[in-house]
Amino acid sequence: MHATREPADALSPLIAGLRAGDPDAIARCYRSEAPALLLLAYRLTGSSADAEDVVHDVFVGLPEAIRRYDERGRFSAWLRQVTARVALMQRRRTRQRREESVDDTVVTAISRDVPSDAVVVEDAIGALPTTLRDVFVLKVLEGYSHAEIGAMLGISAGASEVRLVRAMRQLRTQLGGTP
Amino acid sequence: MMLLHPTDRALLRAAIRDETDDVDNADGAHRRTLDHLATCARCRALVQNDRGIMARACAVPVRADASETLLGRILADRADGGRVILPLADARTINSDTRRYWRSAAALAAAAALVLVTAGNWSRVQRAFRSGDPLPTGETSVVGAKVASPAEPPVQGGNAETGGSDSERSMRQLLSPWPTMAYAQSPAMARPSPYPPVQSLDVSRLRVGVRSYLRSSANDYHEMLPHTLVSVRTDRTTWKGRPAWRVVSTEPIRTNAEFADTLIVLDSTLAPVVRHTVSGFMSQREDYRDSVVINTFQITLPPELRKRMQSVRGASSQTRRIDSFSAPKRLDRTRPVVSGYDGMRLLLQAARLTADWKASVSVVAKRMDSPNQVDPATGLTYLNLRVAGIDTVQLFNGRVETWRVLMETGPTPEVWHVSRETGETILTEGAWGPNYPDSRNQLMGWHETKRLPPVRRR
Repeated sequence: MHATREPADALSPLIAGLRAGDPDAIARCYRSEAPALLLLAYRLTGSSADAEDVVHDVFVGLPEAIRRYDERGRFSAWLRQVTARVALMQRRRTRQRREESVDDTVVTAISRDVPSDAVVVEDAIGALPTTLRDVFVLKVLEGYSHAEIGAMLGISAGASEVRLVRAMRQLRTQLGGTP
Repeated sequence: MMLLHPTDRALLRAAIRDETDDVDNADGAHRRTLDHLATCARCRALVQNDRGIMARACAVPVRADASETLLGRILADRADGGRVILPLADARTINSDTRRYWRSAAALAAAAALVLVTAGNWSRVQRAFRSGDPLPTGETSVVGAKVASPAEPPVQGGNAETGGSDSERSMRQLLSPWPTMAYAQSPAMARPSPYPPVQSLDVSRLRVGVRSYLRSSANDYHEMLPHTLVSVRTDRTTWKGRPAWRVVSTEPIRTNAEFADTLIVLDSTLAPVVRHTVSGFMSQREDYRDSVVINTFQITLPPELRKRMQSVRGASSQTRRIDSFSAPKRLDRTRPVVSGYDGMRLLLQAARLTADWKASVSVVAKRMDSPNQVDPATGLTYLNLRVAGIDTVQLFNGRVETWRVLMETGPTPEVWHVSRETGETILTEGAWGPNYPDSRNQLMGWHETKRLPPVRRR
């Protein structure tokens, strides 16, 4: 879910630093936001290497992009939305061109030392078809509205809702309960 | 009495909404669902089950380790001048009725834009050939899209593709199925100096035959644009007694018009000698001489249109040719000259690429040059090419291992995927002219033939 609201006073110097391309500001922002962004990107791309690429791209492009951030909404929510869009674009590119992995033992960004039920749930989410997983992640885990999801994925709000219903059906089957 | 259960969608809506939803404040459909849930244990169990699944998913304590190594890579790339174009989040949400309205409006707007874009390109080509200069960049097209000039970086945070007034920009963003893009120029992409010229060409790798490429172009009106199948026929021929290659590209562009591009290059050097392009009733010819290329451009009226003009104007002596002009351009002959995409395909196939291959070519194609690539020593235009890695491209009949060849065209580099085995160009990615920032040409099929193509007479 979304992070807690950041105090506006604390953010202003950070955003000013980011706009100026200050490496310290980028590092500060990275340390506070990157874990959540990595997780979001991982859930959307299904690959830790792609997730790292997404977060890399987000932070490399952030100082230019943040000039368009008008500070009316929450910064972390804005950043998550940008990350979600970059992840979706990254996946579209990867689907078109299967890139050769230089090293199969890329650093696993996602730690799996978690309770077994969590692994089961995470695996069930990961097993969803991409189109359904996108909607599930964005709606249930990220809290976007169907209209926002539709805008991100280029589909209608109704289609987003239908995909969520299908995703839930599949999860019911995998996780038990009423199918 | 038979009990009618709500649909899965309605139940899921109920599951997502807060459990404490007040029935009195719910909208009609949701109120009916909640009323039903109060009386139906089966549906209630279903909703509770869905809520349980969602709660379990949200409670997964998976954590991601944001490594200092990644941070180091980010900071190093920034310091090295690396920039990334980010799709910006748009807070605006559009309800479904509005989307439907805008979709129909977008169809009309796209049709109008295509007409205007075509007219815009037409006028730009005319001006360029009249003056004898390369096509200008950084100008505003008829649809208001400002073409970013590599020598003049776009306003920071601005959108190079969506210039124009605020209202125009807002309209385009609303019509666009894609997110707003903030363009940032990467200084690392613009090379100030040329690489060494292409050294050796192995023309034995070239194969006659017919290839077909699927071209898909994207811009703000992406959904409305049709994909086009381009047919490319490569044959052996002679030019003034010398062995040569002839490449003919054809593309159906309109119901009653056709695009055909014929390029003839010499056999051993792949140096272009002539290129003739016909698009509807416009035609262009490029004659390559020692150090210049002479462009001749003309518009030829089709007979029916000529008759119509004669009846309107009463000009019985109206000739078929209504406009014609030619302009010479200087050529840099110290590097291999490449004319258009077909010339580039031949060159990359004959170049025998390696992992560290890099070379410069002399270009005359308007799309490929930019002010960043004018050799200060000669004042002539060049293009830097280099192999930037290995990819695997999925085709219908399997995967092909390719060299990723980067064309350093300033802020919008083109990427060409060239088969490692045969040198065949499998896929190209990059801008298609100034109006389509995203475009792909993918090889769809090919067969070898020794048959000469029919001579086209227009």
